[in-house]
Amino acid sequence: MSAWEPASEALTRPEEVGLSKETSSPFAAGRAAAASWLERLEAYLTSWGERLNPILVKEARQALKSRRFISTFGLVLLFACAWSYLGVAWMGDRIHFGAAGSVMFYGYYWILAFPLLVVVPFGAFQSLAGERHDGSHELLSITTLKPHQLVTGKLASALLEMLVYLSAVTPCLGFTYLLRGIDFPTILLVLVYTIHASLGLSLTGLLLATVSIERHWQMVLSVLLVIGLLAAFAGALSLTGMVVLEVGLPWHEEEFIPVNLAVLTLFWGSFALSFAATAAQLTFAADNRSTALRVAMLANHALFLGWMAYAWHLSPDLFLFIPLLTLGYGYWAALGMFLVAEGPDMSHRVRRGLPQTLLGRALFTWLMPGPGTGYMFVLANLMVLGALSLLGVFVTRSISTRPTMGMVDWQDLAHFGCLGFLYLAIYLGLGLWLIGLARRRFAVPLPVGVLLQAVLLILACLVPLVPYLLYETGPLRYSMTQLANPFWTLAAVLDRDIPTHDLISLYIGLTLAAALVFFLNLPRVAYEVMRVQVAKPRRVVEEEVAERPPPALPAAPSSPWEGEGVARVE
Amino acid sequence: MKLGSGPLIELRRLHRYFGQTQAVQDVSFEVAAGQVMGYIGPNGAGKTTSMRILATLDVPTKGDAFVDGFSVVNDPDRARARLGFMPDYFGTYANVNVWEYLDFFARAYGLRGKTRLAALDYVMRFTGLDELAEKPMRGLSKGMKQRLCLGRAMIHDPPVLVLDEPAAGLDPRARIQLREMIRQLAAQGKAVLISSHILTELAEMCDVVAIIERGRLLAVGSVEEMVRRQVRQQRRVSVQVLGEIAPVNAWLSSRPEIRQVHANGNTATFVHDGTVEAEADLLAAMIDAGFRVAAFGSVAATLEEVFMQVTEGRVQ
Repeated sequence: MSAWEPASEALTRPEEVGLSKETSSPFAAGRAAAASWLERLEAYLTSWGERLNPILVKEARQALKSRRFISTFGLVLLFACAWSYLGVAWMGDRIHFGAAGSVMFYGYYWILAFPLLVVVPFGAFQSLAGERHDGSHELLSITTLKPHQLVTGKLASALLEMLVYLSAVTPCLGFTYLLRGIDFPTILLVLVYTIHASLGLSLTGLLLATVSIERHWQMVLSVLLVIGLLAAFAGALSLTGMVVLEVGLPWHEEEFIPVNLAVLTLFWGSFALSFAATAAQLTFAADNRSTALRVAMLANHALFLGWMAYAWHLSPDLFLFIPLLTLGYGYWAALGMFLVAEGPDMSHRVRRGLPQTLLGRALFTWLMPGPGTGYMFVLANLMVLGALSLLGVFVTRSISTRPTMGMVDWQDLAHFGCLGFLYLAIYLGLGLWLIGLARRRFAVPLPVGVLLQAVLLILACLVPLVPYLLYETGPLRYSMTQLANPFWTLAAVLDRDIPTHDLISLYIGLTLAAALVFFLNLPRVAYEVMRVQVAKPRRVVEEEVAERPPPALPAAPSSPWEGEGVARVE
Repeated sequence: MKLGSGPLIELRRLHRYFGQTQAVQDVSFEVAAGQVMGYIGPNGAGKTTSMRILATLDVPTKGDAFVDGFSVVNDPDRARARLGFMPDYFGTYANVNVWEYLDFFARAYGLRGKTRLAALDYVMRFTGLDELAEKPMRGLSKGMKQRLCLGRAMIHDPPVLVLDEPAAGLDPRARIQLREMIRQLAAQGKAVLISSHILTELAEMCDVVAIIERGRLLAVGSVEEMVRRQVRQQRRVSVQVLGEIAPVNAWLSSRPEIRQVHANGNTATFVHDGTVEAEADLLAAMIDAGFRVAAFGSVAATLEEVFMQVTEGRVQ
């Protein structure tokens, strides 16, 4: 108990609020009841407010006094009013007979989308970047708030700001519905997507704010973010314009709802991954930053496979496997570069949480931090993706009677899947091995490790290309000298530009290289897998016992006569 | 929160390297409950680095630090709950007043309801900020900001306080008030680690002093012990004479056991390498030489002198 802790630690409760005793006028009872009701409400709100995220409370207080919020809110109101008058005046008599709602809605959407898609996400970026630069984030990071609470608080305050702007425009949106020309579900869907986009962009802003605390890098990132936000704003305007003013939404289509569900679930999957990445960036160096990320990656992968399976169920076409494999391999290539660049050391704190049982170690070791386990984690996911794709290709070939949407053959897809897997195993494995070598002499932080792999890939693509470009005069055609270039090789496989004997050589070469790289990395992987759980320090055990004392045992009888049915003589 | 039986602060063979720079090298010390330790050293000596490690803002390259027995590397969350850190910078928030700032940190430390309000009330009164509750943070003076910083560090009533240069830039009154506050906190049983360049102030408020230079800990001990150690090695003596001081000055300078002779008015001070008996002999010799000695005695060594003797004034 702290020095200033009062005897009762209970939060303010409505029961603690006394009722007014005023009884002198005939209306006194009614006033007292109203006052009591208001006081109870206030007490409930106070009690509820105590449970709010502290960041949300602080940012809401700040926003109410900030010039940025007040001016943006004022401008939203002003523009909404101006558009209401101008729009109605411009429509003239047509407003009574025509369907003016869609045009008016589009005008209001311009006014709403700018704060939601540009101002709010940029504010989230600025807020965290500024705090990290001036050191106030450090002061916050040593409180008992967890990194995920920090990110949640920032997102909640962004959401609150969005809702305030939305509330300013909501009456206008209701007005557009009354004017006809736009239906309620369309308005709702556009708003739902815009709020999702705003949340996603705000999280992107927060993630970018964690990249650097140096002012010059923050300036570069803010310029990039503003460009991205303006592009998103322009994209949202054109998409909404197309939906509202031109084509409308295909509600009657059978796939409309599943497609929207797919988009939203994939959005939330990516959101969870970005959230985990942002929280990991803010997490203490000795803590486990990786497991939550790997779980999010796995969940995204499962979602993606699930929706692709649904798409295949609707239309079993071989063409589907091109986006499935390309996006899947691209996803694991990008994330794999980060995973194999993770730091090799594991703190005692993380080792306390290592799985102990045989089954636990077999299943969950790959979710624990470390570049070796990361490499194996990516390979396992790639194998699942490749195997399911191959299975899908064979099944499609056997059941589908329809012509394919593209000129894709099942053999091309099988080669694409197998060679793509081998390339990823080679490049990620090489990256892991090279970073391990570099770490024997220098400290290689994660961004440098990722950069090293990117440079390796670029060199592998460019170096064989330069002599080819210098000495070949005819049109560009794939040759085996470009073996190290995965992009061109895989494109050539799909285009059937590789003769069969070269394809066999390609398989042999890549398989040998992948096996060699795998065996080179095996000691690293084995070292990480063989780590065992360490015991908690004595002080931690003492503290845990003090926090959660073992349940009291029933009082044992102090004498043989103290059993049941024996009357005790006092 | 139940405290452990060991020291509240412990640095155990702490090392921190930044590339080739060895910012902290093999630093170990302990601070017990109710103790104030002064952490002194020239700029760039490694004070802030080791304090940041203790505050869980950085990770040691080797070794470990403990707050109430909890490792700052392996159990930072438990260490944080027991530690209040006041850095040498002041993280501000726009559009927030003094009360809202402290309220935010109280919530961030998990204080809720009446406990939070009581903590806010206590801290505002303790730091003398109660009259400035509504004042915006941007408009605070340096002294007020330092108080607010101290208030933030102690809002969750931690048993350990780590204060990095809390007296920097304060006027004399504010310094005296800060000193009083720190003494009060120690009296409440808190362990306080404090760094400062104002050594006279540290000497008055610290029970123990640790001197660090170029990342290495040069000396640890109580102020009295350090001064005594200094006195044992060399004594500073002051002599007041009637009449001209110049002949006294020349006479003293000619003696081999005497160094650093300074004359001011009719008083000369010098460093004497010798025992108390040798000092008595020196007085007798002065009288024999015909000097009219009005006063003769050792001058108490100060923490500043200890610091100057122990350190070499080099930075990394």
